Amino acid sequence: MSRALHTFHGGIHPSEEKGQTRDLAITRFKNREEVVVPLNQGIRAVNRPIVEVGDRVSRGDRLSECFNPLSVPVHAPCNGIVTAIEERPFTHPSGMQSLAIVLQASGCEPHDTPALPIAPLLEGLSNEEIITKIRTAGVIGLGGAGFPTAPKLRSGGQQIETLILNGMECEPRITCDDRLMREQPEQIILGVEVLNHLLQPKEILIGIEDNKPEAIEAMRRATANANAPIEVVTCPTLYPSGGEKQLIQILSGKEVPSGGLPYQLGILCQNVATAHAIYRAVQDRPLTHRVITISGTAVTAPGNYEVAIGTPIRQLLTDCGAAAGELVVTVGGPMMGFPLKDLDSPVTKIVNSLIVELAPTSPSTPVRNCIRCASCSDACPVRLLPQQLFWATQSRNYEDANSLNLFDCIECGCCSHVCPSHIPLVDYYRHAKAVLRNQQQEKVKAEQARKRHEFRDARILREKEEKARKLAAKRAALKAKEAQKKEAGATAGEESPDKDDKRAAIAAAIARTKAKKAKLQQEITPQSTEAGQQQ
Amino acid sequence: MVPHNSNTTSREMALVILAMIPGLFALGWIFGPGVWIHSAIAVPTAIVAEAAILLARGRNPMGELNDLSAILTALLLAVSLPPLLPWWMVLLGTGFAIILAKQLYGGLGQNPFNPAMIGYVILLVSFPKEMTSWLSASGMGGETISWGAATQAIFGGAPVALDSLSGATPLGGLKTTLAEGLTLQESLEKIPSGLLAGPGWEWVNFAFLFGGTILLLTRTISWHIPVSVLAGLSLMALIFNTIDPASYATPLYHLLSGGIMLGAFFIATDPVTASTTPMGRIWFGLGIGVLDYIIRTWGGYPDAVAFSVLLMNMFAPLIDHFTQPTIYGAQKGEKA
Amino acid sequence: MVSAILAIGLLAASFGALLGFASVRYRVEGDPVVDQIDKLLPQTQCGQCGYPGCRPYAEAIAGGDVEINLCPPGGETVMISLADLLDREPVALEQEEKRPSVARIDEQTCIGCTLCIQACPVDAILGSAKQMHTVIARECTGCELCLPPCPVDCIIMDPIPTTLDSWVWPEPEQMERLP
Repeated sequence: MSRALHTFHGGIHPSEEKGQTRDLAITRFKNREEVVVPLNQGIRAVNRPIVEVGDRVSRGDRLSECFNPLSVPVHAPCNGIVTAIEERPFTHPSGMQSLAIVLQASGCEPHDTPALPIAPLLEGLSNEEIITKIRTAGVIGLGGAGFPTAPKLRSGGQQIETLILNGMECEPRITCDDRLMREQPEQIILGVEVLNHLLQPKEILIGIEDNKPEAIEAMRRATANANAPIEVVTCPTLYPSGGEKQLIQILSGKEVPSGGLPYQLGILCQNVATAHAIYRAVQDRPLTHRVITISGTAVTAPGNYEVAIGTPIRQLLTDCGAAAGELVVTVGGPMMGFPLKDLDSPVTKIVNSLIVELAPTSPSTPVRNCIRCASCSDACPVRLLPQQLFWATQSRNYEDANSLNLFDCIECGCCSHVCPSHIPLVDYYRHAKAVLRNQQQEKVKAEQARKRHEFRDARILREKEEKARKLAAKRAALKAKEAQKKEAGATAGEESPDKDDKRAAIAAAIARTKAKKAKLQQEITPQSTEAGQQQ
Repeated sequence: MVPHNSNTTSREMALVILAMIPGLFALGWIFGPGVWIHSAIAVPTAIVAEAAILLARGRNPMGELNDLSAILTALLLAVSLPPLLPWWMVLLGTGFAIILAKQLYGGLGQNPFNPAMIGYVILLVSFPKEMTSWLSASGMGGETISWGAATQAIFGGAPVALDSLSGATPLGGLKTTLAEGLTLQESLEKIPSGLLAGPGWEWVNFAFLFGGTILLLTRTISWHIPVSVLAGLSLMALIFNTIDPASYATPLYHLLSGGIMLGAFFIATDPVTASTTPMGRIWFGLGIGVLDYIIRTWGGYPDAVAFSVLLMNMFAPLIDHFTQPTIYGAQKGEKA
Repeated sequence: MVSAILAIGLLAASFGALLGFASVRYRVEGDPVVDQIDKLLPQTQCGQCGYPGCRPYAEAIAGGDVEINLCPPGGETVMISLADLLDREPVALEQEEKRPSVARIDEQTCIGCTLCIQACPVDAILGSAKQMHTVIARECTGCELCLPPCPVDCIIMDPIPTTLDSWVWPEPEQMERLP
């Protein structure tokens, strides 16, 4: 059945380079010595460890708790001992460190995922309970962006009409989803059935690019016996068809509103590997392993490896025969990935590929001026004007960049790919976005500071006024009292006792103050001596 | 670093230069070797001028000259000039184009006006007589001019007016006769005429059309600008020719006269100075076509590709501003 | 000649009248520019510009010939925004842009004198007489106005560290630096 497909604007055909790994079956990786599980696994996730140094943990044990609904817990990939909870290199373009749980553990091989029917697994569970299972299993989007799955499945309370499974894997070199679809299609389809149970969509579409004929065949066969309205759709190979917004446009013709989310169109998208993880989650198996593609000219054993989350990348490189010498390791695909600064960083849930190359010896093609050729805007899938964004960001005119819809850019790299002047366009946009985000934060802070300042000014003014009022009231009272006395016709006799009383009272007050001062002196002197000694 | 496709600026410029060869050849074959001699003067001048300015700006000439844009500018200017123009005028024009109109703005990508056209216009305004003395096409009423004569004319020192050979272009002739009150038919009988348009010039235009098609097929340029330039010109010609066939030339005549094919495919498509949005490019091209017709018919010059292009260069940023495409996911009524 | 003079004179008179009318009819009360300027300033209230707070500086800029490059905490960003707003030429900052920092009180040394509390323009220090003072880090703007009054010099400025959230993807090398 050929479904009418739509197209998106632009797109490119980069050299696929999947030949190196597409026919290598998933191999289980055995790590050595230690596993470093970062507590930060998703979008601004804040996690707190619930284990301590010295604890023994078993495979699948939850290691952290999180209160932010957007965060997910992390788990131990195998049995081991917690040797440290400390800052360790984090797999992030900044190369910064992040808090991680270090386990002394080796082996950590993944286990099979049995293909059991879902009905008994889901029996008696409400939707919210199923979603909670998915969250406690630590499932986030495994396509590379890492959006937490549980809140996504709640889809803002909207009914989902179309569920889309993303099996496109459009980026060059990456083949992990391809292999997963070929080798474990039943488990993926069972995961889709779980999603079907949760969301009750009218239709389920699995999009796969036509450069993966075996995967399409395998998924079609697995769909034949499924209890859900699933259709496997073959899509023409075009980068970046695997981007969520682009895939939605291809399959439905609709465009996700700028700044909005797909559920507003009644559509939900999940990566096929995430569906696999969802299926494991309802079997109470947490997300502890994932398949990654290791490719490049500087490894002798490239392939698709199922590795434990937390495996130090250096171990992977050694076992894959990485060449000696300076290496350039890219995390992710060649179009959207970032260079890895510290090889001791671990594999996290969002790492789907590693590209290992030797550092280039010849200088790269020089960057020239922009010639306004508009090849970039012809290629942009979001119909932005990259050349205008470039002029704005190059001249640090970030406000202009923002009004040119900078934040709609999906950083796919199509513009950089076609630029005849070899301008690193996406790097400019990533820089500009970060600067703007920080500026926005600062604006919020500044507004808060201004309010506090105004309040302080008001407070001081109020205190002044109160003081003045009190003083005026006192003076008035004093005047009134004196006037009273005069009226009462002061006699010397009457005055004297008052005056004497007064004098006595004043003398007593003076004595009290003197005593207090002396006491204070005594207190301060030893204190300041102490302080002096400490300093 | 994101992987790149094989396209580079140098490659694009090289393709444009190659696509000019048919036109260059046709010009030389039909109007004598003057244009080739001019090319031989302009190209080295451009290279030296650009290298000098780059050095003065503290940049590496070798690194930047190899984008071939200077050579392209020189060739575009050379093919626009009358074939017997003195050598020092060619030098001057090229110098103005490279130094004034390109490098002083910041080099490649920074100039608002088409450098070759600036060079042409400065020469036209400074030396109107020499710049409007064209040769008649060889083998069609005019005599073939030899290498020796051409060299002597160009390097001779004083501007030579070869009265027997030089004169206005067919467009110029047409303008004069129409102004005198002859009808179109009578004019076409009086001035030299070729198959479809002016003799020689139609072949030159065909040659540049051929080159332009190659550029389209190799995706070096996009169709928006050339098609809209030709459409603009044709539309205007169609309208006026229909209203009064006796006083206005046909669209076909206009399309094969003067420098319109060169302009549509090689000059207006200069990415640096044209509009950059898709709709913007169409308006840009239409503007050039319409302006060219207006100046050809009612303006002071017989052909006006240069002026039209420069005028539209001026409007390019404004056009860009008003033709932003709607981005993915924009709300109804909202633009970029 | 007379007609030319008459014509131009008439034009000048009519345009002058139009402008005069517009200046009266469309007069704007107050000075909204001050609010706009104030919105752009970082609200550190530090006084490094020479004015006692951000609003006074904003008023000074709106009022007269005051330079727009006097705000170090705002840095180049604020200066450029001001230049854009007021249609003026950007001017390089005179003082060096300081790294944003937050004050911290050394509790061992603090004597509870409340002088810093009174100095803080945003009331970011908690404490009272003879009680321990502490800086509410989230509200501190790094203006450093609390440092001079402290008699025991117990306040330290800690630079705000970059976090994973605030890390900025590095700007590509500008092409002007081609060899």
